[in-house]
Amino acid sequence: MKQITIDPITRLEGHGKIEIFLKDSGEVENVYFQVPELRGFEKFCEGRPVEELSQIVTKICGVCPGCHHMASGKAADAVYGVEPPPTAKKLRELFYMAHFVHSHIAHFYALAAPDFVVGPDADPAKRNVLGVIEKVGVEIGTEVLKQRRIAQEIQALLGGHQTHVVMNIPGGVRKGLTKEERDDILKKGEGFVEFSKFSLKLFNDVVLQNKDYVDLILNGPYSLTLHSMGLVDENNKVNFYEGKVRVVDTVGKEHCKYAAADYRDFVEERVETWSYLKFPYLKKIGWKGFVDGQDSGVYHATPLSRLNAADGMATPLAQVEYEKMYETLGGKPVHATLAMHWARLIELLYSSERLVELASDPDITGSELRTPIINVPDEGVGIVEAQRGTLTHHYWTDNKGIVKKANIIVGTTNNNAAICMSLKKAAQGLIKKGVDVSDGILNMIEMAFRAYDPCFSCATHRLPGEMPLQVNFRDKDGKIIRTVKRD
Amino acid sequence: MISEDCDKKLLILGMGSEILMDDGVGSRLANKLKEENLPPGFHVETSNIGGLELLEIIKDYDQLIILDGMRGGGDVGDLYFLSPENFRETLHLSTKHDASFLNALKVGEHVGYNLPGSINIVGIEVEEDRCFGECFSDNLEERIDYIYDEIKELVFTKKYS
Repeated sequence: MKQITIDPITRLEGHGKIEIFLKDSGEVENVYFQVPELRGFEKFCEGRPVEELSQIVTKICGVCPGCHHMASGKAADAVYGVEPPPTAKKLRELFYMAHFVHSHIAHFYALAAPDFVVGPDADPAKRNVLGVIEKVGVEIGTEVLKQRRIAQEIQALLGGHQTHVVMNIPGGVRKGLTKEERDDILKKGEGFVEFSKFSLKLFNDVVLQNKDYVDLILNGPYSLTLHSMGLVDENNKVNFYEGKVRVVDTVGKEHCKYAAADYRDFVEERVETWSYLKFPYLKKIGWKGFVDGQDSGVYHATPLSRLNAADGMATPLAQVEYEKMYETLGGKPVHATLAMHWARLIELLYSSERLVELASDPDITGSELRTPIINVPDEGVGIVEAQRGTLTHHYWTDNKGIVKKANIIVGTTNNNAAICMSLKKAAQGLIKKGVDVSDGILNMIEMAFRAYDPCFSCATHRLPGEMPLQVNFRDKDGKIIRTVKRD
Repeated sequence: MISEDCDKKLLILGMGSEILMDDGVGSRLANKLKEENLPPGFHVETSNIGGLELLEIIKDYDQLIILDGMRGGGDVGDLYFLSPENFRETLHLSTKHDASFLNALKVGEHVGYNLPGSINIVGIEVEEDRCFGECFSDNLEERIDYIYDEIKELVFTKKYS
């Protein structure tokens, strides 16, 4: 058996290694995705006041600190059995929409667009955000950075810091919003809406009008038929901050819907000997292995999953795009992995519209920012949608609110099994006997997981490193017979 | 490598997470520098993430010194003095979430950002960056005072070896 290694993964947050094992015939036998471990998070949290955790967890990852801050803040609310007042919840959600805008712009233009705008087979030196800017123009590049910067500024205003967010306290938030600040955010939000519309048009012009790309999305080796998970509001519309977790099956029928506190009744985690990441699965179906299909307990939690799991978007322009996507791709649910990029842009539009809605709400400048705490702390769960999937923080405390135990299921962890399966499917579809395993082929395999926008920093609670890429081809004795390097 | 004319603005940027032991060496050194009596025009910041995010932090400064952990193959606490011209990756300068450090600088140039004319990177060899903790590894802790003194000399006296 031969072994092909992709290590590390380009354009991906975190450090991971892909091992592709070939049969002697040249066909792919199996694919393993391995991630190094971070250690000691639970121990690190023990003995700390639970209200400190929302600030501590922002330091797990530089990419999505706001997500952890929100989930942690909600978990601390639950520990104390307290519900923040409407103004506080809306302020939290307003921050969170800016966080989504910032992140989704980054993913599309820096991670997804290189494959479609520059091309999956293009020179690796050009297949990056710089190559995208060279293709689409400096003006657009300037606008990408500008919109991200504005989103960061809103996060800094509301969160107290753009990355080390401090806004949440149990029962509410630390500071409110003045009318002048609200007016400024409202204007910026309208700019986000326009930029989101532009980004969707770019996707339409570059991807959807290109038959080869549409064929790649619909018929390429990237589809997995899985259950879909996402947070929904009381009308079953997509919501990133609040609601219940809904899972639909492979034909779109509701499998379950649960409140945060009940997650353990529906999701279980398992460990494989070859990976430090956990592999969550749907408890009622059970673990059937790394297989897809209606009878598999493997699910995914991604932008596409969120749209699959919901009955629609809660904002008008995003709803139009939602309907267009499903009409184009043949109805709900969609299982084409690369459609995640499209779903992500629809979410960008939703986040922008929702930000404008919240900024327009008279409550947003209210003065009631916190509900007093009167209950004895105990145990609590907070769930939000991170950009990369459903994020769960679960804390247990003593009666003084000191943490005894903590558990986190991050967005990417939900997708760990799905990512492994997507990689295997892509590898099996692309690596054939007699086909030269070029950089372009390897990049197309990596496209399988880049669509998930995975953050393995969070999934193993660590931060990234950068290494040169080297692929080793090994014979059945493990001897290297060929090496492909990518600088 | 540092401009003789330090009357221009200088940013010292420390990188890394302070809850991941040696990973946060850059941030911790930077925070310690904040306690010094810094000359006018000297600024100190910290960041957990590189790539395009750095552009917003470093633009409009004349000079930049980045402090970050690194795995260079040396002994724990060894210092590497780098620049974009002799660049080697440190723990946080590039991010796989959007861009490498060098590509981020090129993006900044393309879109007309006013980037520092002098960019110096001090990489510090680390040992333990995968375990949660608010202290350094023993080996790094042993050398941290020496490392700090070297960086202080770099910043305040403009000597570079």
